Amino acid sequence: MTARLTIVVAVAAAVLAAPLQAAQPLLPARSSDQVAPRVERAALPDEAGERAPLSFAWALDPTQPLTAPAPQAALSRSYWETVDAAALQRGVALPLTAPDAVIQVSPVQGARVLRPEQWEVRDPTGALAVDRIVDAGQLRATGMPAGTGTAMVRTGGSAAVGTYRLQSTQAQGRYVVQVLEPNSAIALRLQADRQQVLAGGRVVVSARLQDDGGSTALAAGRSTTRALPAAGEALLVAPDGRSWPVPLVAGRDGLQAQVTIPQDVGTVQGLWELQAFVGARGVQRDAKVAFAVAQPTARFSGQAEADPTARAVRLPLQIGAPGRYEARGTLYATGPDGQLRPVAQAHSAAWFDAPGTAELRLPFASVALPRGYAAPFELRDLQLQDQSRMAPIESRARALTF
Amino acid sequence: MRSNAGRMGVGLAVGLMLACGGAQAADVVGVAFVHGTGAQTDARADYWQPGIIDTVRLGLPNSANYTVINCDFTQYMWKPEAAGCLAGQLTTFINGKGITRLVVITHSNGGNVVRWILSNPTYDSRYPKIIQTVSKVTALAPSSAGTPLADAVLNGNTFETSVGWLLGYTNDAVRQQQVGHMATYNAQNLYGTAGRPALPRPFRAVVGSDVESAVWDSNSYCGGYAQNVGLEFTQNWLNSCSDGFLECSSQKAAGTTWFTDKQRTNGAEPLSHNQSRRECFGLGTILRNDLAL
Repeated sequence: MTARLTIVVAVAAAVLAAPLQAAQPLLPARSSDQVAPRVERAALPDEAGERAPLSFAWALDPTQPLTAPAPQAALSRSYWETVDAAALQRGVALPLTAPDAVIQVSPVQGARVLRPEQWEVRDPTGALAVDRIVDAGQLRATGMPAGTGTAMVRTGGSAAVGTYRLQSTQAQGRYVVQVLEPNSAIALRLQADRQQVLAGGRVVVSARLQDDGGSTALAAGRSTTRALPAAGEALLVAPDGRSWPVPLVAGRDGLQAQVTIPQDVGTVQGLWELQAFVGARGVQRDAKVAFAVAQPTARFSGQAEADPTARAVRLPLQIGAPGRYEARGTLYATGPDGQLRPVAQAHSAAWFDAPGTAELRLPFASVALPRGYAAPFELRDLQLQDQSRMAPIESRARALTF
Repeated sequence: MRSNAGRMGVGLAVGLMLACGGAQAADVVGVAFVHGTGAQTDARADYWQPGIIDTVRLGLPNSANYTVINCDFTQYMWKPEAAGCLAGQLTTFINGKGITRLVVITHSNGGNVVRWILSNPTYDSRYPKIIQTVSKVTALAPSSAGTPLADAVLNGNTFETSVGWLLGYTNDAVRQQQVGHMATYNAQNLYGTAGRPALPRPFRAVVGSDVESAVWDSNSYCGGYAQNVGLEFTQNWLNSCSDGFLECSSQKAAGTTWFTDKQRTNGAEPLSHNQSRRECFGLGTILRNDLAL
């Protein structure tokens, strides 16, 4: 069976004619919501973007429940370090906890580019431990944009566990050395408490070194995870490359970083990272998590007007900086069994030239309700995005009932 | 204050309602091939190779109704050089050929750029018409949840004032495809992953699950032997089910899984990340036959 698309195009002015209910406050924010307490001025990025106001809605299948994804938990069996030529000429110690590791070496800008055969890896007994090696050209052929001079070595399945040595007498300059231990039972688990934060706000990141039996046991559901005592440090990294050290403090369940985001978030688009570097008794691991940082260039006023007949929601805004802003949200309708389920998704965006008051209107009326679904409605997962600066400003899991 | 294009009510409101039915006889069907990471100027020859394109387009009522996208996908997916360029070329194609039903075939990161358009209809005034015209997206090995190989490229690439980025500036498409970054983009900017609202159009993944590069096996030469040798090595950086560049879980993270390579390919051969954009093991024929559905 194929799907036939029926497209309904309507001028929003027609929707505007429908009466709206009196203004009502948005539902109280939850602790996991992000609400801008004020608005701030900000410069416009060079790429101004779209100026036309646009709205768009589409149907959702009410039998498919929606759940807000939890912040990603990074699980790492790898580590990296920057080493200089003197250390490499002597031989750099690389602790390995499992056979068949992969070692990647990349020259820092200005360092001597070495051929794969100029690298030596020796196991704890001093024997050569290179099962296979590939160069940058072979890596690039895969689509992996490896830098010039990058090489990747596999130590082999029969190799011993312990301290290996990576050496090149030809090294000159600095090199980034990465070690991946896909067969190791020891991993670093890193997770932030949120995926978005406002400038000046705080993110809490937990880090735990654990023995989980390894990837295979995890995949098979045979894993019993045991936390390992560890210590480490962390680094907050902005998209423009600025970085700030962040202490990792031991707690009841591993390590924790209290990360305060600077007020000056810069103008380079992209996500921020918290990188954690943890070690314990011959084991090194690092991992990173990413989150979005937004300057509060606009905010919902906290009020809304909704019309259940027209299935439209008017959202007053306070604008702090010129730009293009978008409201998006999910309409839940009451099903035949009295339960609220998602039936439509709507977005609405417009350009605003100057600070002041404004509004966006989420129109759901062009989407037919599934049979048996009707008011009362609820607007959930309401978000305000700064499209000019690619930043999620506000996020409310439950916003309005009408 | 003043909104540049007038009051809210002047905006275009578009709604989509799905109903059962088939392709209409009056439909003008087209297919667009959207490449992955990289800046392409001749993707037909350099990224896809003509074999698969020419096989697929024979499934069109008018085999001239196809376009091969050439954009700069070294940029973040939302950038004018990426999604903006893609929107421009798709719009030109739709308008120029009068396309009413568009099948989009993407590879790798091309799936993310198309998913950006589907997920952000109000970002660009060209997006709504594109979304309305798209009948389905066939995402070949999409990097929907990123790849640990992107992390491997960027780990250690710190910024020092005297040097700059230690390993040189790595392009934003690679930054975007780090696993943690894609998790955040999927949670905030993109739809179609678990627990998130569905995309407005079907997004079906073709999953590559393994790499073969035995020197004696002729199948290892399809798409390029050297590429498959490299992909077999980079599998070491990935979990046990991967196409050498992406783990199966990433390829399956958005939309629905149409099929995993061995379920449909000739000889139940796996599709490496290189082979899933080439005329290997009957892939072109599978895609061609799907155009009519």
